[in-house]
Amino acid sequence: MSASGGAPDRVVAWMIDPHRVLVAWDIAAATRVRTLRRLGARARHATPALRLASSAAAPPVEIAADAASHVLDAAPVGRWAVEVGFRLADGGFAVVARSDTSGNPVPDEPASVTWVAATRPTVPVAYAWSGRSVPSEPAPERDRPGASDANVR
Amino acid sequence: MARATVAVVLHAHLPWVDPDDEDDTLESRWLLDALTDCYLPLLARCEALAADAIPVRFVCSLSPSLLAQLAHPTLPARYARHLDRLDAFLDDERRRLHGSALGPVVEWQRARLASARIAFFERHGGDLLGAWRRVAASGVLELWTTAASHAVLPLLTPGWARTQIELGQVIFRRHLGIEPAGFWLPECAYAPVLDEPLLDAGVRLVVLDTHGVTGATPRPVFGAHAPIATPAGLLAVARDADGSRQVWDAQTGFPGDPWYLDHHADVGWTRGQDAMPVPPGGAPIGIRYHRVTGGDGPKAPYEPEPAAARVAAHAATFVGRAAWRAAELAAQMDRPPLLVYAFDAELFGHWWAEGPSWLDAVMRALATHDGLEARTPSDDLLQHRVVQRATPAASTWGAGGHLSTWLSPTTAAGQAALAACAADVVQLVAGVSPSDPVAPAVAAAVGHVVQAQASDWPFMVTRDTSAPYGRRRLDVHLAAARRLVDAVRTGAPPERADLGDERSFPMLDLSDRWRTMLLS
Repeated sequence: MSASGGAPDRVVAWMIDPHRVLVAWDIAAATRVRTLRRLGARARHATPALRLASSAAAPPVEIAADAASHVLDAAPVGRWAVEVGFRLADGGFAVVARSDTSGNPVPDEPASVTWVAATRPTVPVAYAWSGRSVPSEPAPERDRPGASDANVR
Repeated sequence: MARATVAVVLHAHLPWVDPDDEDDTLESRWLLDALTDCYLPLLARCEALAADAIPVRFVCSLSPSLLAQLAHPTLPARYARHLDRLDAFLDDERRRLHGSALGPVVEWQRARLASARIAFFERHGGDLLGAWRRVAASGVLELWTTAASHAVLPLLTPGWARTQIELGQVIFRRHLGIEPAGFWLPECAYAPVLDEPLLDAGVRLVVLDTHGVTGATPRPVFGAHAPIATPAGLLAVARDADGSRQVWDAQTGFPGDPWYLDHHADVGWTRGQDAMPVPPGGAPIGIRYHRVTGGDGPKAPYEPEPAAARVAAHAATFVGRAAWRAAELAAQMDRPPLLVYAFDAELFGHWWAEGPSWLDAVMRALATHDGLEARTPSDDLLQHRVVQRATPAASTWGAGGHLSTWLSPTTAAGQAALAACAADVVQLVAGVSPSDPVAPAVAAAVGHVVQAQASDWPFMVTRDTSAPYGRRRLDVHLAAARRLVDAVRTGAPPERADLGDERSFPMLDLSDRWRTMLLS
């Protein structure tokens, strides 16, 4: 059970933007102790950490013992989750709790231009596109103010 | 070639503040200030455009929580008391400032309040919902709605996202008696996972921030200036970032002009307690005497006539820039460009006093323009029915274009608690049938989670604007939902206050419809 009582230990993770993941957790001290006991001698020098679990291996990131959230610099692709646990001296990682698995599906459209009629459902149509196009616009900068900040000075 | 479309999309939203719980608090007066500053002036401009048969159309999205507050039976009495207080305050100010440079501004403020009183009580009979319905029927305005409590939908599980979308539409129909003509994504927050719930709810088109479309896969050949269709069939249009910035940016936008009324120089910060209950340290009361002025020196008194001249100039600048941009784009495109300008409606009148006049001037200029036409995105699609297929990028109109405004270290604990509570309530829903005696308590718990999901609370915390209130509202709804969950699990009677009544927001039952949605 969690430190706040009632609910089971939980890890929640959301992508803030394409390069960062916010992780928050509520894990009871007893759960951590149980994990360390199970590790036996491997628990010596174990440090609190979290890591991104996805198809690409990511090194664990150390976290403060009393932390309850962390912003992870990561750009997960495909299916991913975040695991909170301990980094072990032998290079291993012991999982205490894991977030639900999320997915960042990679769009599977062809690179070619497809035109559709704006009906429901949309259906591909022949369209005599001249090949003209509008130049790309840069993606917004991370610290760019947003329109939702219009009234904040 | 056909004219380019200028699509103005306004989004009107205030978080639900229950007047039965919070009578005469600062937060309960947000709506009353917005009536005087924004909603009544915008309605007046729409009525004038319709009366003058100006051939323009634009969009206004009305959030369910705003509609519920406009429909509240105590609103006319509360608004009358509010105006009475301000009138009494301005009577005192008239004597205090007689003969000073601020004397004429006091008279201007008195006239503004008198105009609001006449509009609300005499022209609309206290029925703002009817007023919105009438301007929609006139054809000037296309009314949209949004998620029930204005939740950032990509943060929710599919079941909660479906509930927010469909409940928002139900509340709109309940209050206005008409179908919403479109759906505004709260905070323009989009992720491809939303296509299915949106389409299932009958939503055909959404507005994204610029990079949601320009960052789509494959890259749309006409950039942000033509609609695209997702593989699932949802249509998306993009805000014109640079054009929109002219209006909303507090530093470089039109509202910062030295001749415009300075929203932040509110008399309430120094003399608010003479008008109405305000917290220690003062708070805005909606009365301002000074113009932006500029520089670090003292503020100059507001003068309506020079401000009106600036409105005309800024409307001409905006339309001229749109025409230049449309001509530039037309040379690169096979169809007339679509320029979407989307804003919070409260910017017009509340944050930018001259905003409604500016919008009126822009619409009248567009009506006679050779190269531009004021239409809605849906109107544009009726004329140009072939669009490119592409998957939009996850995006919002918040800082950085993503979710950092709502997902930050300061909001992490609250968001995690909300996610946990929402999961527990769904678990409860799964085990209760609509005829179960505890169904009302479970429905009330769903309602509290819906309210806790409002984008407003984490925004207030991250941006430190009314942060204690944002924190309190999240805590209050989560605590109520938790008490209801515990009561149902243990068989204890739920607390009466947690159940709400027929005036509570968002009012939903535990019919099969909502159960199916939440469990999806």
